[in-house]
Amino acid sequence: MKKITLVLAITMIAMAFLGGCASSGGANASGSGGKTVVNFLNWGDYIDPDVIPSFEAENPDIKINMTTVDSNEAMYVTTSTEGSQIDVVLPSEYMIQRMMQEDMLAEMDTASMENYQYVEDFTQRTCDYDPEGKYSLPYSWGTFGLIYNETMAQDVDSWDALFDPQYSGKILMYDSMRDSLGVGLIKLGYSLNSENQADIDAAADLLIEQKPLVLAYGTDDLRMSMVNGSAALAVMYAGDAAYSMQDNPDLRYVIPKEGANIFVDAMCILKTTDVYDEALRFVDYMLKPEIAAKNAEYTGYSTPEEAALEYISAEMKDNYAFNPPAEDLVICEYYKHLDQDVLKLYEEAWLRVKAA
Amino acid sequence: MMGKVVSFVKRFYLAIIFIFMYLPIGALMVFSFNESKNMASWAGFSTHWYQQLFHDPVIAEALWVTISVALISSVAATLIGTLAAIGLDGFKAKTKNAVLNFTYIPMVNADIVTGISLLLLFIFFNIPRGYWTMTLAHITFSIPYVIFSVLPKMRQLDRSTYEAALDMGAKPGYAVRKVILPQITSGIVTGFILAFTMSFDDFMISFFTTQGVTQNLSIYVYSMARVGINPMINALSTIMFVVVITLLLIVNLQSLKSKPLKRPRAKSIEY
Repeated sequence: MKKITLVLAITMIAMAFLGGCASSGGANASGSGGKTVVNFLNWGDYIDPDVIPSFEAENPDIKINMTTVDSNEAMYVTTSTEGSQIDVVLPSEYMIQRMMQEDMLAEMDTASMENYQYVEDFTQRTCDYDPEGKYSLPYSWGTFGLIYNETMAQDVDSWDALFDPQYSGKILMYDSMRDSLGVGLIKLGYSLNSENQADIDAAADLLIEQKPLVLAYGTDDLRMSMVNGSAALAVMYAGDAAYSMQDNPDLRYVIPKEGANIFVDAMCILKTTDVYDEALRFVDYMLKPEIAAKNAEYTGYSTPEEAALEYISAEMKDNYAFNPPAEDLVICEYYKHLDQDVLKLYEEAWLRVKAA
Repeated sequence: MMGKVVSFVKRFYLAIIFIFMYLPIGALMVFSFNESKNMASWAGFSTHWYQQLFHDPVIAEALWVTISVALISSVAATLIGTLAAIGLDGFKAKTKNAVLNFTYIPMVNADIVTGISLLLLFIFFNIPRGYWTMTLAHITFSIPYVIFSVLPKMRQLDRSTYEAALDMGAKPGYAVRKVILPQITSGIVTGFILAFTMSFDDFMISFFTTQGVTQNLSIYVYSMARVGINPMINALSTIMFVVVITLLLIVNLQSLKSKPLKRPRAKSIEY
């Protein structure tokens, strides 16, 4: 009997204790120990683990509660649902456009930010959807190009290589609707954001025709296959490519001459926040060149800050995937947010490719 | 000759099963010590990921949510489930079977259906989803597991011992604690462990019953899909595997030392 009472007592204490700790993620103002909680919605494993603790050490009145999702769509759903408590979010440019259209984002008070100066240049030059950084400040960016193994493929500079029968059975494609159809669209000379059914169908036909040459459609596993040399060519995000190139020196990354997709992930503050000042301080901190450099080294994705390059290892700086010259980016194109009925065309075309 | 072949096939079959079960875990453990972030190539031995793991506040937070939810929900489910099983045992056969069939539904129901219906429920009642809604959901889906682990023990139990206790002047509550509980302890422990593990590795239901500001380990691992699973997760899985195996070994060694446990009778519930 005593034992049971003891167990019950311990459980009660534990529950009360757990409840106290666990609720820290919830309401903003009444956080743990009088700290203001800023809820930050990020991608999984997309920030150096030391950055948040160091921010909290410098700003003892703020606690960052970070949660993660795996896609822009999940980010949108999480932040737009009634009663969302998210304050800072890190979507890609096409989702930012949608959030701007739907008036979900708060204006950034860039004038009061110490570190806005470091991204000002990149924002004006590259982010044509929000050139003044009014609603979004860039965190990282990258291209979606070709990675190839020099011992198996030479002088690759065009998407044509993916359709070259001499690489039959050694080509890896990316298992993602817009990315793959995008390859077809660019190769045919159309826009990545084409809303024309004929263009989209032609891109799908091209991919179906290419399918016998393809070893596999994949996502994360493509890196492994490229590093261990089981494929000659793959379509890959620059950040993944930069990492793979460190593991296998025979790998080269190229932005094909026809152009490629470029993406920017940028920090936004949601209109519904009730801790705007604290959120802004956090965003400002993330823009510090030392911090931006840390995150860029950790994720392998390029930094929008010229000033951050100073803190980045020479090996990374010389990596073409990580730090391509600005003139190579001129031909690159952003994704635009597409309407539901256009997306449907993409989905149907993509299903045809997958089923073929 | 024939006997030899048969015994070879038997052993081969067993070996294959063990290889399929443990080789992936072995690979995961080996690569947790890999120096490179890439799981395709071995770049040398390193404890780098283990060091990073203990520095990562997000993993720590997610692990904490997972463990605390598993603890709270399994304790609550064990309490409710045990009481339910004791009560059910006293029901008439017809009522009992009806209730048991209802209890089966959440077990055989697809997780995604449970998850979405709870999601809709929370939205309907305007309850902000987070830590406590997730815990509630975990209690809900754990209760049947406890009931079905305790009930067979109740069936084995001789009801007249309880009646004898009452005859001797014990109050019903006292008789339950002193006579019934000690005899069904092993069922309760099994139910608790089942509830704990079900909660610990649940993804689907957690995913739908929390939103935005709270996440457990499985949700965090899932969200890594975009940039690739970090080998820190290998390191964490290795530690969890070793801890669980050690616990199992200790429990088994102890039960070997003490008298062998009676096997619970197979469940026989009519559909």
